[in-house]
Amino acid sequence: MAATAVDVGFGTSITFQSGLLAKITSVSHSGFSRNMHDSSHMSSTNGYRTFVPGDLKDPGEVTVELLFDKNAAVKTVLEATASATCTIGYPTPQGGSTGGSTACSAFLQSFEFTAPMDGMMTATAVVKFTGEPTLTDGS
Amino acid sequence: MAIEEGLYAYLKTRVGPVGDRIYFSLADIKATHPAIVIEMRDRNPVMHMGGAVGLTQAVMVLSVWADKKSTVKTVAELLRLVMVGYKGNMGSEHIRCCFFGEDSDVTYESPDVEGLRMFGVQMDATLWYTETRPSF
Repeated sequence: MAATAVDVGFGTSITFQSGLLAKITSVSHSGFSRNMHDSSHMSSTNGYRTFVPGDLKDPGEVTVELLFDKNAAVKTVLEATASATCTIGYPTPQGGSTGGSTACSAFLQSFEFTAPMDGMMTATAVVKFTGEPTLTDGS
Repeated sequence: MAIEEGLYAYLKTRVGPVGDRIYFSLADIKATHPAIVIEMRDRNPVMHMGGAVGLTQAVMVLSVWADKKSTVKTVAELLRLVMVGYKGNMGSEHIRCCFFGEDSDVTYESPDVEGLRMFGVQMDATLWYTETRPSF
């Protein structure tokens, strides 16, 4: 049977700053985007606005939900002046050999945690991508 | 050992009037009372992307039954006092914390035995406990 890349998210991993983001429960990317410029004019066809794509693209940011079990590294990572590679590894699909990945230089933008009385301690980290990302398909 | 068995091992020496009359899901209504019935309502192992964490949340219904309302209330209070906020071992299970939620008074009237009437209190208990993580 041919491999399919359509899968559940279980098994997704993140490599970033010495395991800061472990025991993750959700990974959400804000999306890639690019600027655009309105090129509409007085005689745009049938009154529809037109746009031209800008040159600058934003690689977005990744919001990571995790089970909170450490915080000593947060300050160090937050204060780091240089960005580090953040790699999101996707689960290997049934019959496949690799799940593919999204990687980009990144830095920790924010980190917050919560410790409810009757519930798991959780944290939310936002990792900002900077520069050109590398997207690799699974196979 | 299942969490129910751990709870049984813990309670059977701590709720004086009940002794070991602690039943799983069903109790013999004609049995000696007071008695406690343990029912599992929900069991939610905590997961992350890499697998099980080794921590589980169980929501259980603990019902106290007796033939007098005053006895039920006394036993229910004893039960509450040994459960709420407990952190430690129950049998071979390790409890991280125990919470009590809603409780309600209930009654039972036997359709078969005339005059057989029981009073009860049902309490929701949430137990967080550690479990062996599966390895594959």
